[in-house]
Amino acid sequence: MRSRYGRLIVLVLLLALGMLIAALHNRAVEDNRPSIVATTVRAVLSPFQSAVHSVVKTGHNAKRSVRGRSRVMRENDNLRIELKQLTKENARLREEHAENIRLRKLLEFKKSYPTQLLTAQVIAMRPSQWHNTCTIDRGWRDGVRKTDPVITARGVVGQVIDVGSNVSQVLLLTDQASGLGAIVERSRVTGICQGQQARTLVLNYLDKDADVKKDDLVVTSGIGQVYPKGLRLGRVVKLRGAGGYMKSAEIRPSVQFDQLEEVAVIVRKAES
Amino acid sequence: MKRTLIAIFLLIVAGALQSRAADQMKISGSAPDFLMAATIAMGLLLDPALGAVFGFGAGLVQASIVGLSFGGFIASRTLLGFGVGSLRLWFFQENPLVLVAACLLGTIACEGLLFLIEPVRSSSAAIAQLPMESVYNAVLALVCYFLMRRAMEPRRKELEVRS
Repeated sequence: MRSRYGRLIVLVLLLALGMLIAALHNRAVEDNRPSIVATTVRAVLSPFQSAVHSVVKTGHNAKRSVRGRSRVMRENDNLRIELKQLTKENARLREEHAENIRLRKLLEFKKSYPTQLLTAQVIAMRPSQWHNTCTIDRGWRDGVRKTDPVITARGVVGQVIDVGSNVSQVLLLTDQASGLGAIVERSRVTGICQGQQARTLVLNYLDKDADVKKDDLVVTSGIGQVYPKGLRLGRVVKLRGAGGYMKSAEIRPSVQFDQLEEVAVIVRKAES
Repeated sequence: MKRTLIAIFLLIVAGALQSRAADQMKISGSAPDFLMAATIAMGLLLDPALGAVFGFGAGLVQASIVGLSFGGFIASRTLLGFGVGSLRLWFFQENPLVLVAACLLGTIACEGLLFLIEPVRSSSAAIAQLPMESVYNAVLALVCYFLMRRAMEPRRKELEVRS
């Protein structure tokens, strides 16, 4: 191992083993089977991940409580100065009204998608600079399958790309490998919505004369049969390349990926 | 045996931190790469072959938590461990500047390698974050290097006595 050739042989063997593992993993993913290597590694990491998650969560809660306390103190000061009890009451009513709207939307959303929705917690987010993926705490034991769409009440999050027994990897919409059929809700113009590694999406392959405007809502078209039709993707923020044969539109996603905590997986029934 | 256990523990802890904490620790859009920092630190402490073995493990762990690019992650991290280990073997001096340079170059070379193996379509955002990520990793790798060196010190002293 100490000799120069010995070291090179170790390197070559490791690289060959790496390629073999990659090939086996890809085969397992293609066949919709859990990858043994990835599942084993995740199982070993799992208790340590939980420990780190607890520490991170405690830190977050502490930060929130400090922020929350200072905010409440400011509010109290303002209230003492203004002495307007009515304003406070009004704020409470407004909050309840907003909550009411949110809950009603969620109820309507659930009614409009009769397929089984499986709620899941996001337990890991973007573990690499080059890939936009996250991990959820549901796997094949819960009925999750590869390519199942993942959503929130705000819109599409992405799709499942790898399923373990208790966890699954989700490819986020913003990843450059992500692409799906999309439609502009107002004008019914269709295109392909793709991730571009940044915080925005891009709606490609639009005709140069296509009726697309800023602030237009873009939803899933249902083409490709992965995502149900009509799920929110985002709003147009910018139009690009209007001088050529085709143009594209930059889209701000409806989902705030930085604040993703709970999601829902649209579980398909297994084909008999 | 102690070294192996320390290395495995480091790998697991770095993997857990990478999956749960890295995204929360962003500074101007750049997140640290704990597994890469650990690979650089261990490469600087071990010989090239053992550095490559550690890098292989780091690549495997990272690919498993990302769920993509198994080949890319394993190959780039294995070569990183081997490269940093070779650096130590040929002209490494325990000088903080050499350490920082090794960490910065290691990150850039490793990310560049991953980019060559699996090019991303819109790479500008990722490339723009690379300098900050390199600095972030360099700091982490240095901390990790000194901690690991301290943990492995008795073993090194023992080796020196034997030689």
